[in-house]
Amino acid sequence: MRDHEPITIEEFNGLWRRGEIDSTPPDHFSDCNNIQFIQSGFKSRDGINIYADFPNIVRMYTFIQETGSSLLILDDQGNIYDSGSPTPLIPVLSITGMLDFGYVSIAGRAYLSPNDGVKGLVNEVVYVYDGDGTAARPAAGAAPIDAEGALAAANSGTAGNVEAGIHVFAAVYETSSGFLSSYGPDTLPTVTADGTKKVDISNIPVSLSAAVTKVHIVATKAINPLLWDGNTRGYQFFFIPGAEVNNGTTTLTVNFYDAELLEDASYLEDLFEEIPAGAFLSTYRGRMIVGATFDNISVDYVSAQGEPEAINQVDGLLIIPLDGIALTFAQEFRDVLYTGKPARTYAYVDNGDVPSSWQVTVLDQGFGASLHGIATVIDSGGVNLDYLIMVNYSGIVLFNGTFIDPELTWKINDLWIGINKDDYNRIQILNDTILEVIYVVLPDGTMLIGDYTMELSAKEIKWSPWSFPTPIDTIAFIDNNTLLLGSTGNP
Amino acid sequence: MNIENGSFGIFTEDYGPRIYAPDFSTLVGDVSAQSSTGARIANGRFLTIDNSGNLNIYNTNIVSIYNEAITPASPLFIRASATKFYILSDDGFQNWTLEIRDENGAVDSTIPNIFTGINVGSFDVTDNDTILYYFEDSSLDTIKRYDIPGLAPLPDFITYATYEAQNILVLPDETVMISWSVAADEGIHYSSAAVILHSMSGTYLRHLALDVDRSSLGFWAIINASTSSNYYTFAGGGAINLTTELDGHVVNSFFVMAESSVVVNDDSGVYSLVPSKRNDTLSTSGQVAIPNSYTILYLTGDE
Repeated sequence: MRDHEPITIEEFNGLWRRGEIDSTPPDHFSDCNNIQFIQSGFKSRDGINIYADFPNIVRMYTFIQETGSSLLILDDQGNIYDSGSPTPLIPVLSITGMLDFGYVSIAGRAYLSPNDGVKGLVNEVVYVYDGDGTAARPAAGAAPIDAEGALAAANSGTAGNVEAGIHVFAAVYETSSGFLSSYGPDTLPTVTADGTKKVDISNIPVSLSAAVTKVHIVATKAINPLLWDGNTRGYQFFFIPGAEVNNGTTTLTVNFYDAELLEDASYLEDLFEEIPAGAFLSTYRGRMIVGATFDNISVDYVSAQGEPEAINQVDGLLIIPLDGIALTFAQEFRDVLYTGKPARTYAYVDNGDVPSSWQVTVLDQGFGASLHGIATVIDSGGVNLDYLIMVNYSGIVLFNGTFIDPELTWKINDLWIGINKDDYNRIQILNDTILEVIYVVLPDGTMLIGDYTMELSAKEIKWSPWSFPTPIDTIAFIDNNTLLLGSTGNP
Repeated sequence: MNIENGSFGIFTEDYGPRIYAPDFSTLVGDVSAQSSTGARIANGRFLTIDNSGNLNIYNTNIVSIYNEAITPASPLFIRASATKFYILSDDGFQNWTLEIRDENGAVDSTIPNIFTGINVGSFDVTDNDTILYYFEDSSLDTIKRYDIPGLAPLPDFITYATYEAQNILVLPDETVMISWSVAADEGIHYSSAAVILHSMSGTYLRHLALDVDRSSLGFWAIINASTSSNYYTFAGGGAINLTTELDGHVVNSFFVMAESSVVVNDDSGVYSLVPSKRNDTLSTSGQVAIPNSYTILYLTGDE
């Protein structure tokens, strides 16, 4: 040991896996496993304990409601459970072949999208779960049909204000989740008003669906009989103020001036009655987004604002440049919608018009995000105040409107590029902003943690692989930042 | 746990239910806290009440789908029809209450004071939830009946003088298997009109359960002999010794399990990361060491 000069290591800065082994800086580990970092040092990682007795877990999300939070858990048989349900191990949704599911919470309800990890399942739809343990049902809903009630309208015997001319009437179903269906039934009645009467509505359709709670009556303004072309669906419909009944009530008398018909109902006509399932769900300015459906892997379907289940089939969509690769994400950030694929990112801004009119900006043709590759921040959602953390083929990258180079995984680049690109949809990332740790599930059932207590940067983040006696397939936070790990187990 | 069709759920004096592979070759695992009785309905769900007073209903994957803390009375019997669970309990003063619950644990109905002033030895009900068969400790030679929807006693089913009933099993076709003892050990299979259809003798049939497919004759019997047990299939006819797994454990009751719809992988589940916990606790393996914690520094001159 003569002439040996001792090296003082004051900080252990985690795993280094870039280049030849002899390029490992002395304050980094050329290899390590199952350690977590403490002030100026490290220790063995914390242990795990049984949190809930659900079998064979492949995906889970935190479902936050007014009364608390629970877990939505998918097993390998296509069953989704709600851990907070009164009957937690009775599935709220069971779909054969569901290998993964998209999820978003809106107004205390969970929207669930069965998929195979790449795109929505064929002939499957988005479901809505009320969070009370009852089975999830298909989101949206069908319009009234003649078989449910041949809607009729006639001038009332009582005096009223319905303006002279031809009025067309229709019915709209409202579901328990607030969805307003397209209007119906198939045959729409007309009334030629003389300007002095109310209108009696009868045979209001009755939906057999338990989800339908109310029926609204909509009408056109007065149409000049000389201009009437007989096409009952060729005119603009409006909601009649106060013209709603509980589902099951078949009569109603309405009275209105045309000037009171302010709320346009025309947008209801082309709504999806069932929303096709996609690979992911997201939100943007009060709209729900469904991306990568079975038939349209490069399309984001975008709902009406404040009506997550109201998606127009004609103009409620964003068509991303087609390249045969399925969309993997859509994320709101600073009032801009970013959407794309693992190596593509596009930006849209809501211009107040229908989504199909929004202009696309090609943001990056090298960086994007994988399916579960936008870090969920504690148990609340995807976005932090200042940045997103996104997983893509290049590594784990900070995004603040542009991708920040170098990537956070720069020090462990050799480890990262060893991941098979076909398995990126199995990577999941969470960001604990309280403890300042990033947790990443890798496709091989191990994890990667990045401690950024020093700084969230490629230089200062400290990485360590974690392994467990059972493979880890999915992670979630509950109670702010308690890390939960889901395992399919060992067959 | 990997549950095979026809596995056995065994309640013993020490455990319950313990799950055994169909040939008893393997103890697959223990389900929950100790409980001495339970029963299975046709869809495979089974109900137990553990010794701490927790009522649990399990699905075929041996996952609890319903839990309720109750005040267990003693003695307590649990039986099942095709779709209902029946819990018969005594308040300690020979006032018996029958509670009927559905497959999800909801109480369908309760019949208070269905029997008073007696000690019930055992009971079972028909699959159509209409007739309850039972016997009293004070008149073990007589099998009695009760009209459940009518809330009224029915004429006695059968009296077998000098014999003492050990257990009752009502089969799906409404025929009835009674295990008798004392004068001789016999198992007798009766029609619903109390006509003897089959019988076997020479065995001491303590506990009876339907076979997995609930077929009329395909039931199993557990034979107690103090500290060890045998099982017997009436349809197959041959007695088979249990493995030594049950030696030292007196069987209290048992049921035959329907096939699990999901093979539950070992150690699958939801885990939480627990600060400062120094080991991993897994759903199947239990407490194990955190695997392989290490670091390697590469310093100049290491070559």
